[in-house]
Amino acid sequence: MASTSFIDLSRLQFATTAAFHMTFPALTVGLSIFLVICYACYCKTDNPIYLQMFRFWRKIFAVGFALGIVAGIVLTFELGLNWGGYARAVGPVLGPIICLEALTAFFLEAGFIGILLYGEGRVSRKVTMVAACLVALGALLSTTWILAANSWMQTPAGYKEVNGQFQVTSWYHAIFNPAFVWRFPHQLLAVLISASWFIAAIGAYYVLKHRAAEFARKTMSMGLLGASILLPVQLYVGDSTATYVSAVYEPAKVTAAEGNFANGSTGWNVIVIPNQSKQRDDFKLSIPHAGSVFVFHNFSGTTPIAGLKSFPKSLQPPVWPTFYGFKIMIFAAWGMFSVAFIGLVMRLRRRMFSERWFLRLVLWTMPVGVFATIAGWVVSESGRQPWLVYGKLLVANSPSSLSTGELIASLAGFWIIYLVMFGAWVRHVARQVRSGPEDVPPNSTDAAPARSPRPVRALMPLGSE
Amino acid sequence: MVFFWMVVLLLALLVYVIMDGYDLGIGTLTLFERDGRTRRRMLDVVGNVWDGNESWLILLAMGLWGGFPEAYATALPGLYLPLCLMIFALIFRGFAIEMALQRPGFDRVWGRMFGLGSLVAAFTQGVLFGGLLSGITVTNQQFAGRTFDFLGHGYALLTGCATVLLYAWAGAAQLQAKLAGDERRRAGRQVRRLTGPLVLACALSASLLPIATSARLRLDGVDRWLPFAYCLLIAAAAFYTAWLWVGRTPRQVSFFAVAVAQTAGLLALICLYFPQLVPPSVTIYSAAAGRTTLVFLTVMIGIIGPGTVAYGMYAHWVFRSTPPAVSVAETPPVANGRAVFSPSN
Repeated sequence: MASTSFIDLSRLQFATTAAFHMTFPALTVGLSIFLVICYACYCKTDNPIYLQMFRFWRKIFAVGFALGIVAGIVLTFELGLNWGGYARAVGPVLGPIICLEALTAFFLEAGFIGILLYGEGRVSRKVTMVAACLVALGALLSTTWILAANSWMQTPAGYKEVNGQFQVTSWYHAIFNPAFVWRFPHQLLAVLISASWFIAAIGAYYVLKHRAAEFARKTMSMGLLGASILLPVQLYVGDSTATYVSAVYEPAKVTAAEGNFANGSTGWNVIVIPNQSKQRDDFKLSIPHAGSVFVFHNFSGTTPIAGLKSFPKSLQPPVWPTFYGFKIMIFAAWGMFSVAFIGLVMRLRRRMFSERWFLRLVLWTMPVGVFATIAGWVVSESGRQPWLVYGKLLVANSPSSLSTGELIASLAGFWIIYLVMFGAWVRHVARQVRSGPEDVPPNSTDAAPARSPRPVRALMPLGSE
Repeated sequence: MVFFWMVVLLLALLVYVIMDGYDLGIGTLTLFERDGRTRRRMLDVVGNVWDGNESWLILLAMGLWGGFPEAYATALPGLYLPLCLMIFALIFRGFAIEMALQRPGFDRVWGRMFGLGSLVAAFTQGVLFGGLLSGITVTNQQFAGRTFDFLGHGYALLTGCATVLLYAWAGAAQLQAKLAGDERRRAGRQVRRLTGPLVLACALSASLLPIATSARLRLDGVDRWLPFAYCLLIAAAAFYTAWLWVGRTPRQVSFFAVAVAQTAGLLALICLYFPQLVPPSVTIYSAAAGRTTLVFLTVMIGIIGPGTVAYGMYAHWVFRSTPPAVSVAETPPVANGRAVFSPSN
């Protein structure tokens, strides 16, 4: 068995690479659907403003999407690189599910992203539309399979254990495992909201700057509308995920997210400083009775909540990340909900685009959706510890036998590369936003110059930059 | 069932080597191209296919994980450092090309990064292949070797160089099919110039293999040595065809010959190694997942596979000619740092 610090290095590597990866799907899944909406509106109305939106967002989508792909490749290899024991044990169950992701989602996206990004002028509007739809479908399928695989690790089902390996007995139960049914919509809504919020914020920026007025208003309005519709649903689905899945199948996770060590509390903790080695909270700020209301939906607020002491110390999840991940997610969701609600009121009073404090609020909360999504993953993953497959496979039994030097080298490599890429990506988005949607001539239809038939272009002197 | 899934994975590997081989090769060649406009066109050739080509690598890795979990769980830790380096190179390269393509012309920084990433990725893939061929120590179904075992006493470095040459050769063959005029002629010259060193590197790798490897190479029995001999013959013929067809029509023949040579080489190795999957001790039978998993995978690939291939081919067909369409068209006249509307286009 490997030492703790050794495992923690692998854990840290997986956590950071996964969080980095998640940032991009959190935006691009939603953006891919937004692109479909924009292009569909353009095809239907012939209003060039939609083409302008489509082309502007496509540029931001392109690089984010590429980053999502390459950062995803890392994860597929990391499972085997650092977690050889895990890879061998769960391979027969999770391998095919991720393989299906590659087959159905990656190939679909990769096949049509080229047409979506560079195909205008080479293919008809209809084909561009189909390509946009298929890229979005690929993104949705990808989300589906990943959630199926991860949920199986939370609530394993449909398998038997043979020679230290999990062998599937029922694919239906393995894929549609209890956690998947709630966590999939939860995650889907999360990424859609993150993207809507991002879109609305960029729209707000242009409204504030008095640039591209029609584009700006339409973008912001569509983004906020999406968020206002999805957020209430998400509050319900998120709550159900916690009560029907985690509380039933992974009680330790909910307990750690509530942050109590002693049994019997009914309060809802806002801030805690946990002291896990002494099994108590060093500091606790809580709202009396609210915890009971939130956890059990018991409005008298008297049902006591279990504390972590009811689990053996070696099987307790770490409280710090689970508790604060949960709080960040919840507060972000409530915050966005409030802002969206204010937006709705102002929209009805026709003042949404003139109140500058509101525009600034939307602009500055741009990444909140992404933070909430990542925080949610922190809860679901750290709340499952010390298990990798809940109740079946311990993290401690899962790593490959590597040297510490290898782990440090790879961890440093990932961090450096990710920092560079993230910096460059932020710069790219900032540059695109600054240069603005005006870049795209709105009156041109279907990228006119590329319309010429192929043989002529083959003879033309190229690269007229 | 086990055998069928091995064939599927072999196909994935082949398609990956053929497809991503040429785009890594083109990437490497951008480092040696002086004309900025030609370099830009080389990026455009790769731009809309690289992610599709890399999907095959993911399919390969995940198919290996699902179908042969033990092989996945031992080969990856065994090849840890080169694999990490390959991943670094691939991600950086993928990101760099998207950044480069978002700008007009040839972007110096990201273009160079793309070239460098391609070179490193090609080299490390060769190292991985050499490391795998020379054998990985496995005990108790876990990797049990040391950090630098993958080098195989330096054998992996040789296969690394051979792979860089092979990919560059494939890239040049693809370029001479896709470009026109003077650029095409130059690409053609590169194909011919690379052939000699490549043949040398391949011959050297092949002759040193029996010394470098801890695996048992077998050519006993007619079912091994006969296909092996045919593979070598076909590979030789393919090398010659690729060399001969430069500058002739149909333009794609050279590249197809390259693909045939790669296929023949891989099959020759299979003749030597079968059924070892992670040589010397892990075989396709010892590493195979349970029956339900393999049945599931087989059924799924039967349903989804043909569609995947079909639209992959459609995507390549749409971009069968190379010129940049949107990247140039979307660059409007710029005045005082702020883009201006052009009334009609």
